[in-house]
Amino acid sequence: MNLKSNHTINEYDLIQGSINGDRQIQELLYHRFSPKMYAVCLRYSGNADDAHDLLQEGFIKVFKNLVKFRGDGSFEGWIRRIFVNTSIEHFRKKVNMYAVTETQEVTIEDKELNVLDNLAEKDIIAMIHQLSPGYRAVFNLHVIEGYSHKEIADMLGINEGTSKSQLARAKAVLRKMVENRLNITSNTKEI
Amino acid sequence: MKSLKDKMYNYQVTPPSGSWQTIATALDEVNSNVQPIKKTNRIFYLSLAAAAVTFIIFSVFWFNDSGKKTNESVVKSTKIYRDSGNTKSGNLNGSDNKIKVPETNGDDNNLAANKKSKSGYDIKKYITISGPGGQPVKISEKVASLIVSSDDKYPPNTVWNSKVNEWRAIMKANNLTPTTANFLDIVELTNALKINTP
Repeated sequence: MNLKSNHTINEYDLIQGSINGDRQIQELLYHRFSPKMYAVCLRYSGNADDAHDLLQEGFIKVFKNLVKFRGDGSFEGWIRRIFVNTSIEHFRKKVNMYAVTETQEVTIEDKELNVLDNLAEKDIIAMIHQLSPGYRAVFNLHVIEGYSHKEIADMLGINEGTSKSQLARAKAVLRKMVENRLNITSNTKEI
Repeated sequence: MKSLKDKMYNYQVTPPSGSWQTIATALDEVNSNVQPIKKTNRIFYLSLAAAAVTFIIFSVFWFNDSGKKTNESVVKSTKIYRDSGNTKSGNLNGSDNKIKVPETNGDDNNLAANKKSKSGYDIKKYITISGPGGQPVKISEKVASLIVSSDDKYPPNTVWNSKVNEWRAIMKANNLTPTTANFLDIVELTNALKINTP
């Protein structure tokens, strides 16, 4: 049986088989969700090696806690939450975010990041990797996952104001990166 | 053009080859380490729960059984009745017109001292006396003590009747409405008034 291309098995059987410890079914589940989850890990980590570690740790957690999945929401959403939480745990172990005062927040201009829409995903990931861990975490949680600043503050153990200012700074840094990239491209064309 | 959120949310990257093998090996290790402990724990807790349930069931039966036996021993024990200050044993007979006070302890006839059995279990003591028609009537030990100690003259039944007549007269003459709760209060109040009236 070609496991990697087999997507005929339904989600319920995938879950039950994995809970029962069927290694083939578990592998199927892995192949179905690992590309998306690896992209999540890449976004939150600073490099591919860390992302690989997160991927393995996340899937071990998924298989260990699969019996707790009650089917309230989507299964992919449940798995994604495990990966996001695993990434945040790593972030909290490694980084201490510094507090940003209110006066600093006011001076930061928060513009939309439409410039990123024109870039390929791979390029965006490469730019996100260049952000500091704090900026990266807040940017991913708010812009990509859609968490509110209050939720982010609870998850990261920071206050809401810090989350907002970190996001604004992250956006400013990314915009600068895009501008630099566009300048380089136009200069190359002129030459 | 897709928005940044949609684009990045659904972005997929094929993980490096060999990732699954690492995860599978880790899962094998987790299973081999965790399962035996879980089984042992489950058996241990089940045994503990079974022992606790057995203990509770035996305790309930034991105390219920001993309680019943003690109660029976109170009712069926040798009857003692007082006759002009002399105590002698006899059997329950409706026609002999005497109040029988049960003996709960061979060494001690004091009723108040026998409120608890040897096991410490509280017993409700009732004493069977002969009613007016010879039928057995259960009364509390307090009432029995009152009747026996109220007058040493024989037969105590007369004393009892005169006592009841006296109480009836008090109740008739009184403005207060007698209830089970205030009955003795009314009697005591009337007696006190009689004593204190010059």
